[in-house]
Amino acid sequence: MSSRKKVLLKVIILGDSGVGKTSLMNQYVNKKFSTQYKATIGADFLTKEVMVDDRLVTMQIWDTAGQERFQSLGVAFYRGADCCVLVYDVNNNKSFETLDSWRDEFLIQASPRDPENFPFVVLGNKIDMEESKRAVSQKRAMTWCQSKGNIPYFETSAKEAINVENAFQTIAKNALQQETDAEFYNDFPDPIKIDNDNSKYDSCGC
Amino acid sequence: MPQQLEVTEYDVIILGTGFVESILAGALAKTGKSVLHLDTNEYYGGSWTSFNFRELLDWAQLLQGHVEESSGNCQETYFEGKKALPTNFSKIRRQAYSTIEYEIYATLKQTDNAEESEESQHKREQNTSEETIHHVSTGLTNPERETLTTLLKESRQYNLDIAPKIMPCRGELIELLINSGVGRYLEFKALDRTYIYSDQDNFYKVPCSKEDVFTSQTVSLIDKRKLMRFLTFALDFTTSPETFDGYEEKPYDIFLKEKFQIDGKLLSAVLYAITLIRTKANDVNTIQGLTYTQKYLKSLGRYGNAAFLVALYGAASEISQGFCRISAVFGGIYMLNHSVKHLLIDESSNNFTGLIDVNGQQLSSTYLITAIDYIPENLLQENEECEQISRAIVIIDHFIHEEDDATLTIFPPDSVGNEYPISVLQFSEGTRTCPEDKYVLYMSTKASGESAKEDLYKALEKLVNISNNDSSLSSPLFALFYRHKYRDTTSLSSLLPNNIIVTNDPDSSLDFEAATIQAKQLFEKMYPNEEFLPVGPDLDDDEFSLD
Repeated sequence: MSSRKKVLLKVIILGDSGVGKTSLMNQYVNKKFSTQYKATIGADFLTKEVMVDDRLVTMQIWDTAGQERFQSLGVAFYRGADCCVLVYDVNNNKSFETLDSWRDEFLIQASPRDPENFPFVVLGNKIDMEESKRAVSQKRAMTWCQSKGNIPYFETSAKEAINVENAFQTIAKNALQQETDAEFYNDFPDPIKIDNDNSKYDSCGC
Repeated sequence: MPQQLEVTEYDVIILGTGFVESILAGALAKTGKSVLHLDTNEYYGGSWTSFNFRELLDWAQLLQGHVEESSGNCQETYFEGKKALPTNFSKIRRQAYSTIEYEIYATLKQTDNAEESEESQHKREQNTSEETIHHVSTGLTNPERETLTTLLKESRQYNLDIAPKIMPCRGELIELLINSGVGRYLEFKALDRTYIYSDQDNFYKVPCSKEDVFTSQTVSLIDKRKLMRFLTFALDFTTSPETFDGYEEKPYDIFLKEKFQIDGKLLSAVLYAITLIRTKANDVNTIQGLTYTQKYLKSLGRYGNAAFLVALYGAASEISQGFCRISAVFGGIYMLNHSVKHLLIDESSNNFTGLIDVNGQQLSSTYLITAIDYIPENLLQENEECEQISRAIVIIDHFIHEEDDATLTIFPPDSVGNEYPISVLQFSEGTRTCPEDKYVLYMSTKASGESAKEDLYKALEKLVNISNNDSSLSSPLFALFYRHKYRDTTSLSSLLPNNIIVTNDPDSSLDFEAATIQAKQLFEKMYPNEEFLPVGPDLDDDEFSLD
């Protein structure tokens, strides 16, 4: 790939409340974990620079900000996503069963150009809990992932930092692939972003 | 299972996720107030929202009354000693809209079949009521039905604003977006060009900056000099008050004529395309006019040679969602598709104390911020005098003027039999408003005639081949005309309990400035000692913490 344009990948994390979406992000980016559960407050998006196949990319990981609790994530949240991470809690059967709806919701709201090949990654979180609490077997989860077009599947623990790095490396890789494909279709000049850099009241153009 | 909230007491409950309510939600949550934000609709944006094509049809049908809506129960009752006033959202919302008409036109060109491959995607969206489609397609000819099919196929590629607006490159809103961090969620395109219609059936590119004036081919040398002199003065008008001495309260056009000899076509351009007056020239005094002109001129040069930016995917709805996200990030709780049954008023103090939601749960707060549609009917006075705005959303198959992401065209008053200036925004695929090879026209004017269609049709005829008037023009596929009220909240507020704060409907202006200022003023009225959306803290990386 010859273009060395700075790449920004937008990754969104979906799944029921309490499955550990924010903890996973926080573990991956800040290497921190808090045992105290609070419905998400103060989480917007986190950015991390990652190397993917010798290429430095900036991954922007978007939290739901708690708006998923009452099914109130607006369509703006989904715009321009390069990868969608679906998270469930392996000890909570319902959180696994809703993965279908989260996937559908993503495809409807984000309406990616090529829905069949859009990259999803599934994370079964909280594997640090005792085995007797486990409600969804690895086999069952993998069968579901296969049936949805071979979605990569990882079993993780945000608490013990198990498999988190690994999972996000795959997320970054697949997001970059998607971004590169999307770029192929996109022949528009880049849109304007407003930020502090442009905000100085310098000379006026007239 | 009904969704019950564990927390039932809040500092502020907000009803409606329109532009003003959403800014307030963000500002309040950011200062640490507990916020519960509800919307009866299943989408964000309220009367500022954007729709895909199917949703737009559904909405038009709903407002025409073709779709049955459950009407609220209208009984005033008592609940734990408080007066419980019933809300009637759908009825009150419907009353704000009138003269809704749409037309679907026969496809003149054969569209290619590229969309067929996207069939799988469209299978997923069967949420639009088939009833709507059935109703719409009844009575259509085959070619018209073909157009409808094409539009429905590409439905999701449309983001159609029901109250379209643009953002000046310098002003209240853009600074707020930058300071609050909401700007990080958004992307924009520049509004490339402004055109003005003159009565000889010609459209002229309006020179806005001095650079434009210099290179313009359509302005005579003598006019160029006048315009240069005026623009130089207007940019810094407060430093030479002697120039407008005695004209302060006089109409702006008189000032321009007498002090700068600006007249005729040039005068129209200055008044309606640069100053963007939305009413008749003599309704605007010189000070107001100069203030608007200066605002426009100051907006130039920040993002290239454009005075305005257009937010991608529909402006107001995206911006509202950005502010709601900030609110959620700071702890605001969000419930769409969640209606309100009663507002509770304490009769002895005449204060709002709380509400009963759709699940029968009682939720209380110190303040209630609400869009007008949620106010109980018996608290609203019938106000026939309020301003109305006529609008049209038109989908066409070819650009007007030149191929640009976004352009603005102005019809000055009386140029096509219109009482007030008519503005026409044209957006292309680049603004993510519509699919490739389609363009959207957003027309608007202050209402004057019998219907929105009557107010706008003659202007539309000059732009598109709408009644087989001129086959060299682009062909329309679809047009929706509607009128909506700009209900007066100032007089309404005096009748309501002090702790109910009412937000305005979208106004007739082209930008968000007045609405942004309202949000700020309401915030300062509620919490005079708090800062309105102060800069930072930046939520990136370091600030991010779970505890």
